[in-house]
Amino acid sequence: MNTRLRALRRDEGGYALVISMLLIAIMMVSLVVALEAGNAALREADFGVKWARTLAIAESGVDDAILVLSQDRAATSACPIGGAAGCSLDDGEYQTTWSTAADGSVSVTAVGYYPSVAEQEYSRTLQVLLEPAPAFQYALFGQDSIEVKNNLNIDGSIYSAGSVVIRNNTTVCGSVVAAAGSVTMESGVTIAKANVVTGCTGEAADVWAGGSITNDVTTVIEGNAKASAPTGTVCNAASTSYEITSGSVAETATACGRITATAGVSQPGTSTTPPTVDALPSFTFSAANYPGITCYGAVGFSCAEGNTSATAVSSFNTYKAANAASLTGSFAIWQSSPGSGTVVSLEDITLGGDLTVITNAPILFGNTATVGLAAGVSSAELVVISTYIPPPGTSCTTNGGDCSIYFKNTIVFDDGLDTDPSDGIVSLIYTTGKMAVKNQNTGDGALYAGSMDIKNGYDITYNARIAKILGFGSGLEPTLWQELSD
Amino acid sequence: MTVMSVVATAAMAVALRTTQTTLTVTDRRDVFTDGRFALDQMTEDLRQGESIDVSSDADTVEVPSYVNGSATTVIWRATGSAAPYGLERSIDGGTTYVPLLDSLASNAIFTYTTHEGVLDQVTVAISLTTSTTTVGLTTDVYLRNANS
Repeated sequence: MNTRLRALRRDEGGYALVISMLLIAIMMVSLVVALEAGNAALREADFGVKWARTLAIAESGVDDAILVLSQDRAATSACPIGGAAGCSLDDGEYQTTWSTAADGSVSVTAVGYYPSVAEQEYSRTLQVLLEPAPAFQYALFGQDSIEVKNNLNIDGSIYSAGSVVIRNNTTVCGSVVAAAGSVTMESGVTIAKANVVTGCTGEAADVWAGGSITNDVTTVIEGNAKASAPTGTVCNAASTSYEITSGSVAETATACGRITATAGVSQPGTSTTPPTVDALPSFTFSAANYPGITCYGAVGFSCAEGNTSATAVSSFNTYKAANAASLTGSFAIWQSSPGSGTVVSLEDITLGGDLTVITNAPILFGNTATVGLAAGVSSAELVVISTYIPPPGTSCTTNGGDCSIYFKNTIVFDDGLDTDPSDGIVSLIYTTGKMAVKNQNTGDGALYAGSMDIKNGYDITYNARIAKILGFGSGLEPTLWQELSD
Repeated sequence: MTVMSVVATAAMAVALRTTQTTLTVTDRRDVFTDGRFALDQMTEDLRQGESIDVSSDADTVEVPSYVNGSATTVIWRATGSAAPYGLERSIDGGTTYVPLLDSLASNAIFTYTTHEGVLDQVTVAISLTTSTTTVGLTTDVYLRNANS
């Protein structure tokens, strides 16, 4: 009996061991599953962090490309895509490649790798389009004073770092800013929000002067008028300085001095901040900006403004005469001792595509000529840049003279349909010197000059197609940002 | 026998509790993973956006954007009449939608911010319902192509 009981007790001890081991095994499995669940969550979080970090690495590649290109547009990537190695960061590497289009835009592709190209766990690809920063936002821009007169239709705004004079039945569908001077508007001048004749709509129609705004009794300002005094000036509602006189202001007229114009709201003797004085956008020539450029200058030297030739202008004019029926491409003309005797002729040209002419010599569009489009060409961009500054003692008026850029008498730039801003010719005509224009001209685009004198019906319509032109502005800026799948 | 029963009961309790915790952790991990994936996808779409369509509101955002370099209209929307709400994505202008989440606690997930006159920021705040609680994921997305 005792022997059987002892045997039973031994058997019971064995069952307990087996059950204990089973329980421990179950607990171990549960623990492993629990720990693995925690680890999986950590892995997912780690994946997310590294994935986001890889995008930042690719962005670094884009930023690096912008920096390199801003220093040298002809530079090539130090770490091209497809190479064995990348440019290193603290926790990754990137590779970049870029290409420049004919319009100067640059397409940058950057691939970020984590942790390296050779041992990549993650990669992400960005493609960014870089374009010149917008530098041209006005129809007319003058570093000094601007005078426009006689039945002009200007669609777009006018800016002068000095004063502005608008005469005789001119309609400006846009705003007028005279940063450090007065605005004078004579008989029949209208600063309009819209112009049914030209189709212009949606403009602010404000006039803002860093001095007085002097109107004729027939002058109409459809927006606001503001006559600001330099900071610190004590304003006086009876003062004839910084005043707004005569005419009508549809919205609010605010002046540091008196207001005699009729206005929706009149605020004489009120201090306002004067307009910012902007400089003429500076131009920097780099042959690398213009793939396929034809350079007329010193033979055997790089294409640069300092490498001049005594026959540069005459050589270009010969080429132009032979190809005027379909002129297209980019041309740099660097003339030795440029002056009124070495004038680049752009008279009677027909554009076979985009045309860029850059020179240190004067430019003449001629007399009674049309700048048209060749058959089969529906739109083109015309960029004309002269860095020629007439010497002291010379004269440039609307009747000609020693001008940096001059044209008169029905010079028409074929601007296509008024309802379609993407067709026709859009022109940027730019000079750091003096520009003069007269008599029934018309065109889309913008005129920018150190100083300008325009009269007798030059109808210009600002077109944003010329807002971004190579060689101007503070550099390249991203305008299209895309992430491509890997 | 008694002692063993007590030990076994305790061990089973521990095992059951561990299993319960594991299920909770796993559920939360899955919900987080799905939410994070959806948020990654959404930020990629919105980041490449050019503008916010005027039809966008708290539960729907529509943007002209890019998918793998091709221009298209992308729409994200919360669906359902009561929690849990779903989250769907369309990359063909709203013709077809693909569901990505079905655990949203709220359908008000988009808010919009304007900078210097340009509507260029979308704040995405999604609340995810797990088996035990509600957790939130929030991100601010800037439209990189808003001015182009």
